[in-house]
Amino acid sequence: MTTFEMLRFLRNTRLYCTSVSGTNRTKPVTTKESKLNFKKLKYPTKVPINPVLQNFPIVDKSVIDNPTIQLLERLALVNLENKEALSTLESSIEFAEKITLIETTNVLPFYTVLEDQTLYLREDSVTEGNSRENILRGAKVTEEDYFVSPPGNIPLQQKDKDFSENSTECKENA
Amino acid sequence: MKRHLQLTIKQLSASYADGSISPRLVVDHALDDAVKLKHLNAFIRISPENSLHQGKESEHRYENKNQLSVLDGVPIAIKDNFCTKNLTTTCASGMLSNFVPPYNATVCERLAASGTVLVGKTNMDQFAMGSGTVDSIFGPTKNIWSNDLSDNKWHIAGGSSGGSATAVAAGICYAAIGSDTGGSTRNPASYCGVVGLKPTYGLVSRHGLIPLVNSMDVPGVFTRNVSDCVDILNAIAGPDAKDSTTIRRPFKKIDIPFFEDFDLRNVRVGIPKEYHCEGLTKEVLETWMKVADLLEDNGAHVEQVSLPNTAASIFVYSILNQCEVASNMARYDGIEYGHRAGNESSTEELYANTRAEGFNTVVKTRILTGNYFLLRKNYQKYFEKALRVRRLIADDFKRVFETPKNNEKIVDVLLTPTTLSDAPLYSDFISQSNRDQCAVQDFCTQPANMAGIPAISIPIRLSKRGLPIGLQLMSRSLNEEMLLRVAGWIEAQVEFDCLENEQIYAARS
Repeated sequence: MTTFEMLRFLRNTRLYCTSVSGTNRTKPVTTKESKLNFKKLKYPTKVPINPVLQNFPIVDKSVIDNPTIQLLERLALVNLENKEALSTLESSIEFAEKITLIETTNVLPFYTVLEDQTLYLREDSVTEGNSRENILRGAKVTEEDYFVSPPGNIPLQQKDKDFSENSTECKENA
Repeated sequence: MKRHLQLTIKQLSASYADGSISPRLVVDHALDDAVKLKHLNAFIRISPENSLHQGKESEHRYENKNQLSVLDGVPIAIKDNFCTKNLTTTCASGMLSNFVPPYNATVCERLAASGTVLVGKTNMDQFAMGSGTVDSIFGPTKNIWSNDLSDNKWHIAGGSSGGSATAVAAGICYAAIGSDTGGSTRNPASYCGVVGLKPTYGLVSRHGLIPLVNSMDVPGVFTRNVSDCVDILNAIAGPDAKDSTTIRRPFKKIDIPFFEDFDLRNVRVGIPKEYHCEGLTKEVLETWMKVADLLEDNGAHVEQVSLPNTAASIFVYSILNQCEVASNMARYDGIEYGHRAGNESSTEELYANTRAEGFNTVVKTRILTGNYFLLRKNYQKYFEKALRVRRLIADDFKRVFETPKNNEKIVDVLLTPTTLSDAPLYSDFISQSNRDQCAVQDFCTQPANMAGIPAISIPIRLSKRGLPIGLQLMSRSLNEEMLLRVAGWIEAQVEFDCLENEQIYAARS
């Protein structure tokens, strides 16, 4: 039996678990020939031969101004890291613009695929208790069974960003 | 090559029961292989003491003939975005690098109750935001089918559940759990040559799955064959009081006889023409045509159908994903759990610094973009508009599956590509931005998440480069049985051997 015949034999019987020992199979064949001929079809194919193209409007690249960046950073409490992040943000907005011309008059927003099912509400009663220790275990700072946070009501300190063309790196001016 | 790897779960369990194979030995091998194949980076963390203990317990149960289920003693892996009690769960992010959940996700709980042995937690893109398993703080996962694993010559595993796909493809585990928001289970399944199932939204509980996009997330299943996929689904599916978005109708276990002679003459297969998009490679197209031809040759009614809103879906997905991410990620502030920055000058300062340190650029940019779409002046223009178009996309599926217009016929399943090509080289993949990567990778997979319908990717053949090519089947909600039957039929025709690749032999010889 040639290696190839052996492989075929093993493949056909794999579900019955014949022993595939390492000794007579030193080098496996990775690009095995399939018994199916993928070039040959019996019926006219239902798969379109050429790509089916759909056109979406080409929109100008959005430009996000500095006050908007600052607003987003304040709302999200994350920092826009660098120029690349800004350009990803802008191109994501451009990407989103593509659907604005799709006709959706009288089409309601689809919030959940389970809209035909009423949301289940459980009884407002304790099912699992005494988990204080477990829950506090995840916190880095605790005091007498409380989570601890620093003083509130202090606005975030924000810095101006300069991602303009002539700034070589992410320069931040205080 | 260990011979037990070729067995299906049912056969393995039968061998445990008649004493010819020991669960302890199989678990031993699984742990051994996980170490030998460490260079693939499939696992973020393995739990050897735990698995050895579980293997031993399983052995006792078989000895006393009181095994818990067909899954008793079967080594599995779980993606690191499912909470596992007392076992660190990181989402591959700095934000949760020290997070030890005090509870189990329902999926983990049900698998444990079935007797499975958890080998470890698998690698992923940070917070499941990606389609390559390249954006993890633990480094990328390498595709086991790569001809060369050195330097930059290896191929990506796909993502975001690339670690789970690899654990199964490499023969370390018999099954693995991933998650699927826009294709995160089917994409790596296709690239790694294994079966990947995205069940109907709400069929499997999300309790304990760290959320990405609540309205689309579902737990996914990886296995090496369709029969195993059925066994895992049967163990995890069904209503859960802890997740109000599970479908409350009781789940009837799926039973597909192993050697059934499935009659295709009553099966109607649709070929949605819009899935032939720009960038689809010749080999994938050829594979798609051949399998459609095979189905037709064996009596199935195969016809072309149209889902006109397909191409808009990727834009809608992108908007909704970023909006839900913006909202979901608000919970990470460093106070109750997870990373906490050193700056204690004010609450907002602490939050901002914690988030600046804990998230990567991809996560931050998605949060900011989502916040932009949700600004009062943009809410209707982007978020609500996307939800309206989402209804059009879901209605397309409804039309072909349930309520045909004019002279159209309804279909039982849709056959499409899973990905546009075989697995890209890592070096090529990372030359694009995360957003561009996802726009290409998720084209064929995310529409199913929009509509909540079940979909499966099954391996068909190897490309010229020796990498797997998969195809996707979709069906109407809760029609997993039909989906799996057709998948099983195709599997039997194409005889794809998931384990036949050089890296597996190299590691084990």
